Amino acid sequence: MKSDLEGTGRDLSIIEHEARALVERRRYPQARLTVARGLKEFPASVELQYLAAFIDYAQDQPDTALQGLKAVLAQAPHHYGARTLSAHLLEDTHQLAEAESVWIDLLRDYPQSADCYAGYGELMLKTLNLDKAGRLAQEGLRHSPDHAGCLYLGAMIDVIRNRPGAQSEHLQRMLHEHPEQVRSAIALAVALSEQGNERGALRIAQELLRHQPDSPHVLAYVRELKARTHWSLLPLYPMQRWGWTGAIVVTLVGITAVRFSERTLPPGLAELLAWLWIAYVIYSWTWPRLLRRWL
Amino acid sequence: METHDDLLQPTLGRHDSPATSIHSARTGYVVSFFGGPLAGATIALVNAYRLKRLRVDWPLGVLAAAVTVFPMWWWFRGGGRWLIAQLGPGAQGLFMRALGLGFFALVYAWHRQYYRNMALFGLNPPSSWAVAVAAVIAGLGVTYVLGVVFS
Repeated sequence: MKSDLEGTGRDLSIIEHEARALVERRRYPQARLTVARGLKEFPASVELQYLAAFIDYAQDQPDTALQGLKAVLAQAPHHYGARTLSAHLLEDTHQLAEAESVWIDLLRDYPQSADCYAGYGELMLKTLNLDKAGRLAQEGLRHSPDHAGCLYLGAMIDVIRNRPGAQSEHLQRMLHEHPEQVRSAIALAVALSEQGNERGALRIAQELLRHQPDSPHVLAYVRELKARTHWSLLPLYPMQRWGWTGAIVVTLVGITAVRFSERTLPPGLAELLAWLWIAYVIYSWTWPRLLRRWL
Repeated sequence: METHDDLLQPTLGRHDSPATSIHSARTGYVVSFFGGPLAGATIALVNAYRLKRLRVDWPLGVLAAAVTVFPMWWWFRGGGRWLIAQLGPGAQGLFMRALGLGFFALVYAWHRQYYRNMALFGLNPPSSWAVAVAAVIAGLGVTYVLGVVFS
C-alpha cells in the first residue's frame, strides 16, 4: 500500500475509494494512514478531509473531528456527510439545539432522506420528545419503508411505550429485513432485557462485542447486563423483575415485618431482624452501583 | 393534521422548550418515602414543569392533597386503631410511608415513558438534592400541621 501511495500521480478517486472502503469496514488505523498519505498528495480534497474527520469521530476524538469538519464545511457548505456528522458531533457534545438546527436544515434540503428522519428522531428520543420522535420515524418509513434507522427508532419507541418485542411491528420488520445489522441485535437485546430476560440479552450483547470489540457502547451495555445478571444481586430479584413496584412491596413488607416482630418475637431475635433489614436496605441501594463500577 | 413543515419546527433551545431530562425515579421514591404524597407530588410537578406539561399534570397536586388530608382525617378519627394494636405506636409512620409509596407508584405510572426513555438512553437527571430536601421538609411540615389540626 505504501509503495502504491508514494507513487506520484495516483488518481485521487482511487485513494478516496480505498479510504472509504476501509472506513466502511471499520479498519480505522489503516484508513487513517491512507487518508493521511492521500492528503499529502491532494491537500485540497474535501472528501479526504471529511474522511479524516469521520475517523477522528469514530475513534472518540470529537474535538479534532469538529475542527476538521469546520474546515470541510467552510469549503463545501452543502457536503451531506459532513453535515450529518456535524449533527452527531454536536449531539455528542450536548449542543442539542445546534444539532437540531443542522438536522432541520438537512431535512429541508433532503426532504426524502430517511437517514435524516432517523437521525433527527433519535435526537428527539434522547431529549424526551417521544411523540415527535415517533412522527419522524413514521415519516422516514413513509419514504423508505424498510429503512434500518427508522425501524430501530420505531422499535425503541415501542420498548419505551411498553410494547413487548413480539408486539413490536418495527422490531419484527427490522429483524426480518436487516438481520445482519448491529442495531437489530441491539434492539432485540433491549427488548429482551425490558421483558426481564436479562440473560438472553447478555448472550446477544456478548456476541455483538465479539464482532465489535472496539465499540465502547456495546462494551458498556455488556458491562451493564453483566452487573444485572450477577449472582450477588439475587436477593434483589423482586426489584429487578418488577422494578419500582417490587421495591415498594419489599419496603412495605420489610418495615411491617420488623414492626410486627418487635411485638411478637423475643427482643434479641427482633433486634437481629431489624439489623438484617437495615443491612438489606443499605445493600440494595449501594451494591448494584458498586458492582457496575467494578465489573 | 400535522404537515411536513410542522415536523421541522425546532423543539429544543427555545425559551419554552421542555427540559431534556427530569428528576429520577429514585429521587421520587426516596422523597415520597420520607415526605409522603405531598413531597412526592412536589417532585412530580417539578418534573411536569420541566417537561412543559403542567397543564396536563396539575391534578397530581390535587390528588396528593386528597390522599394526605382524607386518610389523616380518617386516622385521627380512630380509623387506625387496628393497625396501632398490631404494630404499636409506629403504625402512623408506616401508614404515611405506605401512602407516600403508593402515590409514587401512581406518579411513576403517569410519567413512565419519560423514566423509561431516560433509563434506556442512560440520560443523566439534573441534580436533585436541593429540591428533594425542600420537598421532604415541606411535606413533613404540612403533615405535622394536619396532624395537629385533626388531633
